[in-house]
Parts: sequence; structure tokens; C-alpha cells
Amino acid sequence: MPVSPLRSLRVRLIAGVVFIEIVMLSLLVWNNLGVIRQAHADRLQNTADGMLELIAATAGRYLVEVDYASLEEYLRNIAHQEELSYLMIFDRDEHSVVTLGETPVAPWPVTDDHPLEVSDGILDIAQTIRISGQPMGQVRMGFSLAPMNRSIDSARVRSIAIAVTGIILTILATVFIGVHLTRRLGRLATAAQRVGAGDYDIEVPTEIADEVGTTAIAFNRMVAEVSQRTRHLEESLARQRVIEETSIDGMITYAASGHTLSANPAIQRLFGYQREDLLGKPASMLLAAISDGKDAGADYASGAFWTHTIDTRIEVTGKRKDGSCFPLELSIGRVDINDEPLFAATLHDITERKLAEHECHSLLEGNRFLIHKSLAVQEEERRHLARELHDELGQCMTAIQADAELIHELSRNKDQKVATSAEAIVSVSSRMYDVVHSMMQRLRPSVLDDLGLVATLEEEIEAWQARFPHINCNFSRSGELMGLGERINITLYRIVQESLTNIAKHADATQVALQLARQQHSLTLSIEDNGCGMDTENPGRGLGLIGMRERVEALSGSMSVQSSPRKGVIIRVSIPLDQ
Amino acid sequence: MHSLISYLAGFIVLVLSSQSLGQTSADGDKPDPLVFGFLPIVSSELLVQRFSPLTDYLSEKLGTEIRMETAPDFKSFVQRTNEGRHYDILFTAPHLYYLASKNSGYRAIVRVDRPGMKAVIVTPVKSTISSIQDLRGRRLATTDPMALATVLARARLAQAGINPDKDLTLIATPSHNASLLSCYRGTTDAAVLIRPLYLRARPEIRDNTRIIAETGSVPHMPVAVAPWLDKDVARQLRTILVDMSGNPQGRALLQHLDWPGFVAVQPGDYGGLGVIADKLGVE
Repeated sequence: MPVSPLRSLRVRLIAGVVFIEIVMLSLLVWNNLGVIRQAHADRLQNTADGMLELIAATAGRYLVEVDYASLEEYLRNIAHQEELSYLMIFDRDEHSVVTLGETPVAPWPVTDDHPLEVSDGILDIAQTIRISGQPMGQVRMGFSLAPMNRSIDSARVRSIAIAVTGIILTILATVFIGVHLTRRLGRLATAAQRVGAGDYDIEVPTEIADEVGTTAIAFNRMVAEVSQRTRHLEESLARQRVIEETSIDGMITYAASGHTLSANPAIQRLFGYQREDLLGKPASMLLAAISDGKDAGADYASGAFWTHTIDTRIEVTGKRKDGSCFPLELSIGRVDINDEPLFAATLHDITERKLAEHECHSLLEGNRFLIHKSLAVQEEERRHLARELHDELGQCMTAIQADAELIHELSRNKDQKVATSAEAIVSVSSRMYDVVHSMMQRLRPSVLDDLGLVATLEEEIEAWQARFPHINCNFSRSGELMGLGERINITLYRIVQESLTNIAKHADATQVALQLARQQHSLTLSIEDNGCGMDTENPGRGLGLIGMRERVEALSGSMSVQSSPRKGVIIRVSIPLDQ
Repeated sequence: MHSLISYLAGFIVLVLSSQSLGQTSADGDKPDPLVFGFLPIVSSELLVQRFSPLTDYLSEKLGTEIRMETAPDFKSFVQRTNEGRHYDILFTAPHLYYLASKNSGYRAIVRVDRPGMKAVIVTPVKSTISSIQDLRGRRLATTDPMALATVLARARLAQAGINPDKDLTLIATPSHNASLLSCYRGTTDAAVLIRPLYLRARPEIRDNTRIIAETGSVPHMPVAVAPWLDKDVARQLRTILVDMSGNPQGRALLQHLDWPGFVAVQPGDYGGLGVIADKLGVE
């Protein structure tokens, strides 16, 4: 950018120096003229005083000798000053005895004290002539100021000429020096302009290590630093721009007033707005005023909502330009620039995720239904199998055992071998019956159908206690537990059955507490032991807990396992009763 | 008719003469001052320094201003004396008073109360000149040729058989002091000056010079009055001068002058000076 001549440093420097020089030289000339004038006046005064003193001191002799001719000759010899206008000697009767020059006309002019106080152009002085203290007459002298004034005028002309010459030389020197100095400054200015235009490939020559050279060094260092920082900033901005431009999430920035300052292309894709449609408009126009999501009822159009940072994403409902809505995740960040807050909002389209979640939920529901069906089928099959074992295999075993006992009774006294074989058959058949009976109990406790859940659990616990008498098991119950339904009964039974099996196998516990309680809308089961505990994060490869959880979740219930090493295990099951 | 015109002219001249001879100025009541002429025996400065108190004293006592005047040299003084009507009162050398009395009618009223005046010939202490005979061929500083010291020295040299115009060189100086200084500084070999003036010279000069000869004595310097001066004034002057030693102011003045006082001149006091005065050739 070209510099105005009036603002040019070079012009101002030269003008300033010339102005100062003119002022100083004018003052110098003025002062010199004053000094010269004073010096001339003092010289004239000294000359006049000296001559007056001389004549006053020496002329007395001639007066007392009444030798006026010698006095006049003497005066003519000493009174040859150019300035002397007149000289008069008076005797004691004030009669003029010697006159030189152009004597003034009486009355005699008043004497002057100093040449600079003279008004008529003649310095008039007078003194009494004495000899040995005795007055002998008077001397009067007049000195013309014309020669002094001519000298002063001449000095004035010379001083002005010298001043003018000095000013001219100063101008020339100032121009030369100013151009020389400002040329380097000009280079700096040009370089600064180029840097301002973005050209960092420049280096100002330092030349002399004076102030300008030092400035040039600092400028070069600054340019290098600025270049590096600018490059880093551009790279950073480019990366940020790439992120913004290529981000699938919408990004906007807006001021504290809520008006949008910038928007990335994803915003346009998500909402159908052009960038120009958004800039300067409220950011709240991107959201449905009232969300129907988790924050149902929140007023997103209010300014207070947009001026609070949201560190975690919240789900909101976006509103496209065409009025259609879609789910979004929103987060808001804030940064202060020049003490002014700047907000940045990230809007992530979660339509796909919501669809996936919905599908997953449907699949989960289906899975639960299948598990439920599978378990039901499994239980039904178990019950059928138990019934078949009881009805078919049990009757057969009973018949075999009865026949074997008959054969044993018939052959006990006749044929010992037959009797022994019959006795073995009775024993084997009896043991087979026990095995079958045990299998039937595990497949389907018949008491569950006959006496209900509580009796079944008590029988199961009693049988388990009989097998593991060193473990004290305490069972407590509350609420009405009858009529819970086949699905709940078999599920709770299987959970208790599996839990006791696990305790016996792995817990090394001495105490087990089972609590079964019914609330108004749910049923809770708690199984707690004081065993060695388990790692809940890595429960092992067994399928027991998984099967238990599937059974519970098939009933839309929940199950939790709480444990830590040497602090036992607590299994809590909650099953809603409304379903 | 001619006689009438002659009477009228004579009357006018008489009136004018009486006005010019009167003791009052033409333009005022202030009387014209009396002019007291002093022989320039020393420089004018010293002369004023020494005698201005005397003139002031006389002015005060007489009631008439008395102005001190002198002349550039002896010759001018004598000429002015002889021209007449210049000095009302005169203080001059004895031999010059003789001439003034003879030529202009001045009349001595008092003289310095000293036995007489004589001149001395002095040389530097280190000089080889020890007698008047040693002055032959030497340079002798004198004051004005008409001065008393010069006249007395010439007479003393002649008495010693030395022709002052041939046997030595007389060098005239402006004053007695100048003669003494020239000798003291070696410019001349010897100097002649009135003895009282020598005795009043600066001590260092006196200590480095010595008297090798003395001249004959003449009566001391007189105070004379012009013949046109009023006789009463002359009488008052004489009385004032003679009575000076009788009052403290006068004694202080006499002490300043280094004189004991003034005494009235007796007839014949200066009658014997015609021999040396006439040799001056002043008419």
C-alpha cells in the first residue's frame, strides 16, 4: 500500500529536522544579532568611556597651564575614532576652549548612559576634568551610532546569509541522511507489506548492526516465527476443515445470542438447508421445539439451552427444512475468544442407530420368545419324559422286582443258585428304580405340580441339605407364593436348583440363605452364600449363570450377580408379575 | 568740537577700562576670580596637588575665588608675566620675580619663611663622580634653562671654572623631579634641583643618590601681586599669608607645603638677583 507523502516518515523526518533547524538558526541569528549589537554597543561604550576617562585625567594639566593650543593638538592626536562626532573642552567658567568635530548647538544634549538607550543617533557623554582632584573644566563628547549600526546591519546580513546557507546545507544533509536511513526503513516497510500480504519468503538485509539493522534482524526472526506459526495454523485449519467438511456429523458455531456463525456441509446434508439459510439465524431452528425423546418436554428453542455446554451427548429431535424430524445426538462446547463466548454444537444423526436398536429390540424380543418356548418345550419334554419313566419304566421295574422276589422265594430252598440270581435281580432292579426315580425328580419334580413352589423348594433344599450336611441352608419366604404360574415356578425352581448345585461344587461355603418374597408387582429371589466368591467379570465357561439369566429374561425379569473374592456370592432375581 | 569728542572717547575708554578692571563679571554679580599663577617648578599634577589647598585657603579667607594657573614651561610663564594682566597673584622663582617686578610691576608681599634657596648637584651613590670637577664631559640634567636651579648651577659651574655650555652637556627635563629621576635611573650622570625638592623626593631615590655640590643661596620664593590688584586685597593677602601659622588650618596647610610660614618681604630682599636674572636675556 503506497504511503501518503504527508504520512511518509521520510518527509516528516526531513520536514521536522528542517523546521527545527530553521527555528534554531533563527534563534541563533536573533541571539547573535543581539550579542553583536550588545558587543558593538559595549565596545562603543568602552571606547567612549575610555576616551572620556583619558581626557578627563589628562586634559587638566593643559587647563591649569592654560595651554589650549597644546590641548587641541593633544586631543587631535588621540581623538581619531571613527564614531567620534564631536569633542568639546570647557574651562572652569564653562567656556568652550577646544572644539573638535560638529559641535551641537546649545543647550547641550542630555548625556546618555548606554549606546542602546540613545534616541538621537549620538551617544552624548560628559565628565569633569580634574587634576589632583581639583576640577579644571569639563569634557563633552559625542559618538555617532551610525558606524555601529552599519556594522550591526552588516553582521545581520552576514548572519542571515550564514543561516540561509546553513538551512540549505541542513536540508541537503537531512535529505541525504533521511533518504539513506529511510531507505532501509522503507525496505522494512515493504517487507512488512509483503508479509502482510502473506509472502513469508522474504528476508530483509541487515547491513549495518545499528538500530535499523537490529530491527531488521528482529523482523526476519519474527517473519520466520510468523511463517512457521502460520504454516502450523494453516495445517491445523486445513485438518480441522477436512474434519468439518468430511464429517458425517453436523457442526455449527454460534454466538452467545444463539445466532449461527458457521455450518459445515454435513449440516446441509442432514437438514437440507443451504449455508446461507443458516448463517445469522438461530441455531434452535435445527431442532424440534419440543423433544419427544428422553428429554421430552425440554424447550430447545430457549436461549438458555444453547448457552450451556453439554459434555455428554443428549438425544434430541432434529427438524429438517422440509419440516420432517429425525433423531439426533447433540453436544455443545464452548470456548472464549477475546472474552466473547463461542459455542460449537455437534449434531449426530442417529436415525440408523435408532433403527438398528429397534431391530435389535425386536430380535431380542423374538429371542426371548424362542428361549421361553424352548424352555417350555424343554420342561414339557422333561415332564413327559419323567411321566414316561414313571408310567412305563417304573411299572416294568416294579414287575421285574416282584417277579424276582417270587423267584427268590420259590427257589430259596430248592435251588440256591436261582435264589441268588433272583436276589441279585431284586437288588439291581431296586437300584435301577432309585436311579430312575432320581432322574424323574430332576427332570420334573412331581411335587411342583402337586404341592406348589414352596413345598418343592423345601423338598429340594431338604434333599440338598441331606447330601451336604456341612452346609447350613436357611430358606425364608414372604408374601403369597401360590398361584404364580408354571413358568415362574419352574424358573425359580431351576434357579434354586442350579444355584445350590454351584454352591456345592464351587463355593466351599458354610452358610446359604435363600429368600423368596412377593411384592405387589414383582417377585424377588435372593440366594446368598459365604463361600469363596467368584470373578463376576470372568465367570468361567459354565452355562449355569447364562441359563439362569435367559430363564429370567424370558420372563422379562432381571438378574444380578454380586460377588467378590472370599466374600461369597449374592444372586438377585426380580420377575415382574404383571406380565 | 574735537576736544569734546576726545573727552567723550576718553570717558568711554575709562568706563570700559574700569569695567574690565573691576572685580565683578559682566554677566553677573559674582566677582571675577583672581588668577594665582604658579611657576611650573614641578609637573602640573604635583603643582596642583601641592598648591591647590593654598589657593582654596586663600579663597576662603579672602572671600574671593582664587584660581590656580600655571604655564607649560618657564618661558611661557615668564612671557605671560611680562605680557601683563594675566596673573593677579604670582608665585615664582626669586630671579624671575626680579624680572616680573622689573618688567610688569609685580610687587612681592610675602616670601617663604626660609633662610634662602639653593640648588644641589646630585649623582647616583655608585657613580664615580664625587666632585663638581668630575662633571666635565658628563651629562647634567637640569630643568628649564630659566629655572632657578639651572641659573644657580650655571653660576656655580662658572665659579668652579667650568663652562656649562662647553665642558659638559646640560640636558633639560620637564621638572626637577624629572631631572632627579633621570639621574637615579642612569639616563644622565648628575642632576641639579632645588634643595627642598630633593629633600622631599622619595626615600629610595634619596638613599641612592648623594649631593656632590651646592650652589649659592638666594632668598626664598616670593608671593607677588600685580600692580592692578586692589591694594586692600593685596594687604589682606599679605595678612592672611603671614598669619597662616597662627591658626590650625594654616599650620596644617604649611605642614602640607613643608614650609614654616610666610613672612613679609623686606625692601631689597631680591635686589641682588639682577646679576643672574639679567643673564637670562628675557625682556
